[in-house]
Amino acid sequence: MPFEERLRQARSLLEKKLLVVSELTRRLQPKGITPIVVGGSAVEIYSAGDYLSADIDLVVASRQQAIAELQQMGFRVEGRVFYHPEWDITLEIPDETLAGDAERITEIQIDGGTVYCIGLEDLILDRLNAFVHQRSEEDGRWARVLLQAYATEIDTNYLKARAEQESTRAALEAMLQEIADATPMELGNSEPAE
Amino acid sequence: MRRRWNWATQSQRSEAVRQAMRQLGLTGRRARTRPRDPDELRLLIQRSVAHIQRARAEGRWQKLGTRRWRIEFRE
Repeated sequence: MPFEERLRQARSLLEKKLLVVSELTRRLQPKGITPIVVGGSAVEIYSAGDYLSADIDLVVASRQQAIAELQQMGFRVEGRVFYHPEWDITLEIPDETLAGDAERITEIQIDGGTVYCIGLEDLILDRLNAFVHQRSEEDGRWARVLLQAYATEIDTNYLKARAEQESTRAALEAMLQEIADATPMELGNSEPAE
Repeated sequence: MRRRWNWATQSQRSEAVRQAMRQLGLTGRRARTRPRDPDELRLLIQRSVAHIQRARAEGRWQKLGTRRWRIEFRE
């Protein structure tokens, strides 16, 4: 099915956004560039669409090449954001470097395409940073949601080590304790085999 | 007097506001001004966790491997 037609059939904004990112990925990967979803859109992915984000935040190693592709796709530059008037999609490239571990990036298959997303642990740390250092309660809430929803799958050793470096360890420990007290579920480091 | 809204005019107005916001770079997160009640916060967290668990149980958000997922939007 042609891309435009598939996009028209999308029933949610998240579906539409991920289709657009998978199309951008398809165009950039032959040039050795992989866009990575970060920020609110990544929370939207890991929360199964429960968190709503207006735009798409991407980390792309080569901003210039990404801009060229976005313009070919019909995006226009408005200030520091890219906007597609027909698709009503807003996209930002806040950085060229991923604030996290490249080995932890999650590959997401969607309708024949692929989208890459910041690792779950790095996303939780990002929210935790905003919670502690910018006193953003909402970010604290989403860090807590993701910690609980994926309690048995996340690498808590990695989380704790990085939280220590970023002065968010106390907040992380408090959240983990809250979750352990609330549920009988054991917080583990093991993940199911590939 | 009852206020009347015209959808076409209102849509254009909304688009103008959104365009101005994009140009000003006001597309990011907005901070809440009112702190949440602890019970409200607890309920919101439980609701979101349940939402994720349901999506996974129904196979819409499917984990294929350690760092591989598949999202099924179509029923």
